[in-house]
Amino acid sequence: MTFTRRQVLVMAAAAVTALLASALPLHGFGIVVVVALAGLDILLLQNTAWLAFRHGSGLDERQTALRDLAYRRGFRWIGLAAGLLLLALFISYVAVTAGASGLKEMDVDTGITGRIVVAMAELLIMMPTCVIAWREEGTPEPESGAAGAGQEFQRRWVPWLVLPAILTAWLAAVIWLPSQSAPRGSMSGSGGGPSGTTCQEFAGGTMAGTEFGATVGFRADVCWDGSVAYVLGDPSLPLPLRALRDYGAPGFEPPESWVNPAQPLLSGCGLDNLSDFAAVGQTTCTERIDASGTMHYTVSARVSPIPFGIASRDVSVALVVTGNGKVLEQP
Amino acid sequence: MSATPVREPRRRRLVAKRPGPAGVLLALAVALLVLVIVTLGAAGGSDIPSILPTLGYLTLLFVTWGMVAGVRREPGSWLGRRAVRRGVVVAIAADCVGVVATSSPGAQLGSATVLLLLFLVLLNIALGRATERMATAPDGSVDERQEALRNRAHRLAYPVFAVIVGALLLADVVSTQSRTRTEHVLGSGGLFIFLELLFVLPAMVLAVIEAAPPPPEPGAPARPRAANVQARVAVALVVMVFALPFLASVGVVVLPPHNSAVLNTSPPVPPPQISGTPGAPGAGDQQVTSPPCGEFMSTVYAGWGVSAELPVFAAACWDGHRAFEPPGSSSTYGPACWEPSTLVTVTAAQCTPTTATGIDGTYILTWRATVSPELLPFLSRHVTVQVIIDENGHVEIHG
Repeated sequence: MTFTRRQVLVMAAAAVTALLASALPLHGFGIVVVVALAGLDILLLQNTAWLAFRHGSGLDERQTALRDLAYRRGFRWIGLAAGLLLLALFISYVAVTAGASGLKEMDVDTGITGRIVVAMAELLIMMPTCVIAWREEGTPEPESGAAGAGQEFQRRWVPWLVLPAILTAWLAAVIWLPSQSAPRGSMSGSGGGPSGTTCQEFAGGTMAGTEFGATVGFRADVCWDGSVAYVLGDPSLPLPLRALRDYGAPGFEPPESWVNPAQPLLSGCGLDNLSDFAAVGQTTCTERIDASGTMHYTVSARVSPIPFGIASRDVSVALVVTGNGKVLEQP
Repeated sequence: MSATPVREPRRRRLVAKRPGPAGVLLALAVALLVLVIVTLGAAGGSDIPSILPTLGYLTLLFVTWGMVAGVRREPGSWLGRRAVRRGVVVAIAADCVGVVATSSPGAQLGSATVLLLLFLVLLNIALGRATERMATAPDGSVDERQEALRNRAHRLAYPVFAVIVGALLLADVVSTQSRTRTEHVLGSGGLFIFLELLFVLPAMVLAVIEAAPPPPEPGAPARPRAANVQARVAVALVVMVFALPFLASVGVVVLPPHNSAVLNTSPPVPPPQISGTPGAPGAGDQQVTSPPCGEFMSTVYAGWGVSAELPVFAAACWDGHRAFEPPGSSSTYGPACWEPSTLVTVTAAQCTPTTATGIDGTYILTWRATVSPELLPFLSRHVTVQVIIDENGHVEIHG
């Protein structure tokens, strides 16, 4: 079975779209995938003479019929394609998380991720063109030769200016757009702590560059006993002494390693970062407990859209809980 | 130059009219309703007043579905009229907006949303009839004109669909607030609307752009009378399906509250008989007997079909001169809150009754609430329910 050049382009675009919609990590290089997809789209549009987007006045009956048919088939394919993308997301998620049983899904609600937004936009914009490209009969050949050299150059190369435009818009968004807060996503139970202590899991984050940048997130199991609040489950954050006493018995104070082992399901530093379109590095989680027992938990990180820290920005997210469990600040 | 042979367009073959499934559905629905009434009646029938309107409405929906599905679009029929087709499209669009507007966050769908989704199913059936399901018909069953028409409808529907979905995607990106709102919309009724647009939008466009059918030719045979009657009955049923919830919503505000039968769960024990021989020890002593007491239960309804319910409970004793709260029963009245049923919201509900003794010795318990129909949220009504127990233990409920 042989495929035409147009069909190969359609399959390549489908594969790249599936990659975007999957759960495979992109490690900050999502924009490369997006630009590659845009390049494939331009090739597809040129190979179909932009038929899907041309007005009826410049088309003959056969082309008009083909264009309209492509929209009908495309409409039907969108539902199926969206279902297939969901399937790809599910399968890849299972594959990615199969060896990471100690972790759970992100607790931070970042909405529809940027890669899914791009995949859906690709489906909506390009589906009729893909249908036209897939059909061999009646598909118009790329226009050439009829126009002058200047027009030919313009027709062939001007669309490629979209690629630097995409890159510029993305870079501007990551660097200059104000940060957005990402609230807690899935609700989960809380636990831990001795009697007289209440614990609650908190999650949240800050998004730089909206869905097309990176998210610095946190998850923290915060306990409070009426006088002091603290994070439990992250050994890098030592428990306050007065809280440690709550875990002991008269005459016995257990070592902290007993009462505060690592519990990545509840608390973790950097586990809830999202770095599809920009790298997140230098993540630090700090906890400060003031004299009144109020806990100030801060996660800071550097978001870098370009390698080597070029055009990077510092992003932080804070959680403040009083000793009696009142939340003063959270995303 | 030879003349190009004109290809006769393929027309969908209209089969001879025969009794459709509507009659069977109608018979089944009536049988179902009778069965339910008989069953509930045999079981005591206490729930019939509250459940009957819902069952009746579901039956009406069922029958309407069957009647609308049984109506054929034929030349000159009401479903073939352009105005009717466009009216159905406008109704679907309004219904979609209503589904999104009435959806509450989370997977739980409110009663108004469910009702609107049921309407949507009906409207989709009507749209399918009005367009002869041309948008989704197999390729071999449409002629060239229909093929071109439905392709054009898809081309026009596609950008509309893309703009709507694109707007949702954009809203997910713009800000935290818009993202929250988008997730709210998509997480509830919005998902249904997405599917509706995905599968029905081309048919909606087709219904709008399809030309008006030509007037019937002078010599053409008239439509069978039965078909006309069925079409008109279907229209009447659809109107009724839409109108009834609104009428019943008005009833919440207009109709006086009514209540189920009052049950005395603790009937008064007759005073012990005084017996003995005159002159015997103790004879002539004052016999101290406790007064008769009772516990009364009922359910008060504000509205019919679309209603709010208040389960009332009252305990009292009486001595022939007055009725009064049973001694030591200050905490007898636990909270009995108004329960909003389908399509009604209850605000400012008073769960624990206030008690008072009238100058005529009656014992009065009062509950208050403000009820408002969800479909007509600008209407509301303050409801006051009083249970009045007189000095002889007779109970009246006033709304």
